[in-house]
Amino acid sequence: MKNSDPNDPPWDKTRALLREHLTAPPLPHPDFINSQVLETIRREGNPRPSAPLFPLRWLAWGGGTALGTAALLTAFFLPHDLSRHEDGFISHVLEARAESPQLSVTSFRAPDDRGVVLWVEGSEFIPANESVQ
Amino acid sequence: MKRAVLILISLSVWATAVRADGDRIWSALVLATKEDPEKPVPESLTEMAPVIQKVFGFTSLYLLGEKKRNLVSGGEEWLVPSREFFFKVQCLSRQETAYNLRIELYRGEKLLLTTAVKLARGAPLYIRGPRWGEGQLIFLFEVQ
Amino acid sequence: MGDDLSSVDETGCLARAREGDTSAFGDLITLHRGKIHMHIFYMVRNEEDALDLTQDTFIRAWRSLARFDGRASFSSWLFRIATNAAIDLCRKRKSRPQTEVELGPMKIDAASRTTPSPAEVPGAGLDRAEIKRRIEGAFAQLSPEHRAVVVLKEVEDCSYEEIARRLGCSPGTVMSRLFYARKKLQTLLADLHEEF
Repeated sequence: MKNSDPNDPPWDKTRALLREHLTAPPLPHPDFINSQVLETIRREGNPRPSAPLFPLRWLAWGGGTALGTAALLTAFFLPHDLSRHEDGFISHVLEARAESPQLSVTSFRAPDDRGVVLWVEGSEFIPANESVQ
Repeated sequence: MKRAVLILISLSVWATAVRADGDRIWSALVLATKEDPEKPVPESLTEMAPVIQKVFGFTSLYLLGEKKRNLVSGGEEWLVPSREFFFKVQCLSRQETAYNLRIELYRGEKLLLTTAVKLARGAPLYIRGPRWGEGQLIFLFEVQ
Repeated sequence: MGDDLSSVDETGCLARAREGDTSAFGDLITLHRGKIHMHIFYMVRNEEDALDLTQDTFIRAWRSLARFDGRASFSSWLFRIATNAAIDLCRKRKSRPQTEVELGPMKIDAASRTTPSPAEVPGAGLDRAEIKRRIEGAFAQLSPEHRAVVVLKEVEDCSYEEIARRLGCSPGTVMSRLFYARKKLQTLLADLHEEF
């Protein structure tokens, strides 16, 4: 992936401004951070960070129960009839607006309700030698 | 024992995720032409190809770019299937099997089109774009 | 405890810290505190909050050390914790009204009795303080997520992949956010370009 920025003079100027004026103050009293953090850790009892929260068998029982519950919920509540003709499976265009006076937009359903179409007229023709990618 | 526990936990997470907000919005930029009816259809366009042929009259499809993003109710995403054309998508709300989306189509810095659409899973949005050379650009949106 | 980082072996410190060695964790804090603080400050734009969140980042890191799997670098992992902490704070702040910064060229009232100062008249030359104020104001109008990508890319010169690792998102998301942020900043600062 390219790391180079787009060849865009206005952005170069903006970037220069950001680099010059967007600054962060130095960390005041850096050792204070260390002492505060370590004090908090000690106050919390300095638990070993690698200590497991739950014993293994608890995890096993928990996982098994979760799986069983999920399977029951899926079986009872997941809709089985995914008929395309129910309203919940049909797309609608609620509103469509062209942002240019040259363009006009109309909408209609695709055949067999297999989607919805926005038909835009008046778009500028793009010559084949111009990139769109 | 550890491995068995991990497998159990992974399966339970997957099972509950079936009903969670795991949908994604997929967008694509397609070039449609009438050049070669025998040209194989790109895999991600297989289901849409018959609709494109019926509605737009084109038989050959070239996938110029595609992007997929997670859909979160109340969230906003930019989909950039190409450097020239891209979308800003706001997820306004979610229903059982559909999403209310506000979609803005940009070309470069220029806003071309704004639409509010209820987009159901498996019922894509097709947007007729500009002509490009001998073909037609079509923008596609689908909740997957 | 100073900032002499030349002899700190991060891998060794990390291994010992995971065993519970707080002194080793202290060395890790020393190694990373400056950059973490700077990153957080860029996002939250408040010194006091940046200090609190810097401490908070390391405390969260200590508590989650067992979950650090080493796939990303320790630094990237810390940045991710810091970024999430900053975003959480900014979201909480959103519910409190903030003073909107008025941007764009100042309108000159034809009936005004006072002569506008050069700093107020577009094209007449803005002083450094005014430019800085404008830039900070524009930057503040970005969301914390967008601020993060702008700073990491434009100020710290990180690659898209590194930004993605630090923010816990995909390079594609980084590019999208960067694009949106650049557009917004260019719009907000358009008149400043005329000064240059």
